[in-house]
Formats: sequence, structure tokens, C-alpha cells
Amino acid sequence: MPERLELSATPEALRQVKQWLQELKGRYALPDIIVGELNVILEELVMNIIKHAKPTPPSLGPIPVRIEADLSDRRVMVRVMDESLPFDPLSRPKPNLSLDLNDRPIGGLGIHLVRELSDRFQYSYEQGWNVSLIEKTMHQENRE
Amino acid sequence: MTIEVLVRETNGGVVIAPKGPLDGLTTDPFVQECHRALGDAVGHYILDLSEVPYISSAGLSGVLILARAVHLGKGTLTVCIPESNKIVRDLFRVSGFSNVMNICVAVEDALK
Repeated sequence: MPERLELSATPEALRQVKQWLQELKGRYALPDIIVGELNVILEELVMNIIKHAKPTPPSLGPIPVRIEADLSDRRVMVRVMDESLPFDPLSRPKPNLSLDLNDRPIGGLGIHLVRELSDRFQYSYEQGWNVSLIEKTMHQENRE
Repeated sequence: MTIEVLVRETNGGVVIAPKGPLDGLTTDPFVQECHRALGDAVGHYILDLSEVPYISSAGLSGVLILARAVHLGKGTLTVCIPESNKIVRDLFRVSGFSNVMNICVAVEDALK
């Protein structure tokens, strides 16, 4: 364990996350499909923090964010953490996917995509930090 | 952050081809380029996603904005995603977009 990235919950964080994933791709020779899926998963979780997290008083922000990744041939485990008031992303309502184009809201899909792309998605609150744990198993087709 | 968006007019319609991820960094400039390409939005438009390695919820919102603008102008939109682009195909499926949009695998099919 693990690779680690320290951030603040600001719009700049997204660029830093993507640059970090690009570095991990090179260092671990990660397949394109895993890198693409991790880009989506981490973007959605970090954007969720930027949009919804509230600083723990007396802090006024910006909210510290930490991402840890444990990468092996068989699986990828990622922990996305932010030091703020408890907020469970899994409590967000599921989007209505049957709506017609014109009736669909713009947005609201992010956490749904994380659920769909992950083999495991758990939330916990540990010593003042929100922790989202994501696990992806490397299926045979993803290793190529 | 910018994104390269190639726009070409053909006999069968206008092809809009972004190159690179459609995500929280690139969707705003992508939508601006789409609005530029749309004009009065009458006619057939093809969104070619063959050079898009992945698409986040922000990118999907951009596609939704494009689709609505085309429909508003009484035009039609087809989205091309090659079979080999598994991530983007999956994300269109799990978001339900595949059920409400015309999807094809090759631009040539959409131009027929």
C-alpha cells in the first residue's frame, strides 16, 4: 500500500487527479480500460466532494482530500477521503434512467456511474473523514 | 483546458468528432464548439465518439445538451461509438442514454 495523492476540494483538484492517474498508468503499465474507468470514478467522487462537502467547524475550508490507490495485477482498490461533515454519497437518490431526453435533468448521474463501474463501493466515516472505498477486479478482458 | 473538435460537412450530414476525454475539464469547450457547428440545427448531425477514450457524467451532460439543441431545431442526431470502445459504450448503456438516442457503430452507417 499505497499510492497517495493529497488535494484540496477546489476545481484544480480534477486536473491534479487526472495527471496523477496518467503517472500511475506509466508506472504500473495499467490497461487503457482501467485507466479510463478510474478517471471517471475519481472525477465523480472528487466532484461530489467539491459540490456537496461541508467543512467541519471551526474550519472554513478548503476541505482536505486524500486519495489512496492499491494496485495489483488482480484488483484495484481506491480510497477517496475528505475531512468534512459526514456525507454518504451512496445516500444520493438513484437517477430515473427511463426518462425521455427532454425530461432528463442535466447532472445527477455521477454516483450512479461509480456504482456501475465498481465491483465494490462502500462508505464509512472514520475519525472526521468521509471514506469511499472502491474495488475493481481485473477481469481477463481488462488486463489486455 | 481545450478539446479538439473536428467538424466536417458531408452529403449525409454534419459530423462532429471530439478528440480526447469528455469530462469535467473539456465538456464546456466541447459544448461551445457544438453550438458553433449547429447553426440553425436543421438537418442530420453525427456525433463521432471513436476518438473519445472515456466520458464522465459531465461529458454525458454535454451530449444531452447537444441532443436537445438538435431536437429543438427539428434536426436529428446519431451517436457513433465503435464496438471496440467498450468504456464509452458501457457508460451510454448504464446511463440509459442508449435507450433514448440513436446509436451506431460507424459514421458510414449514420450517413447512409
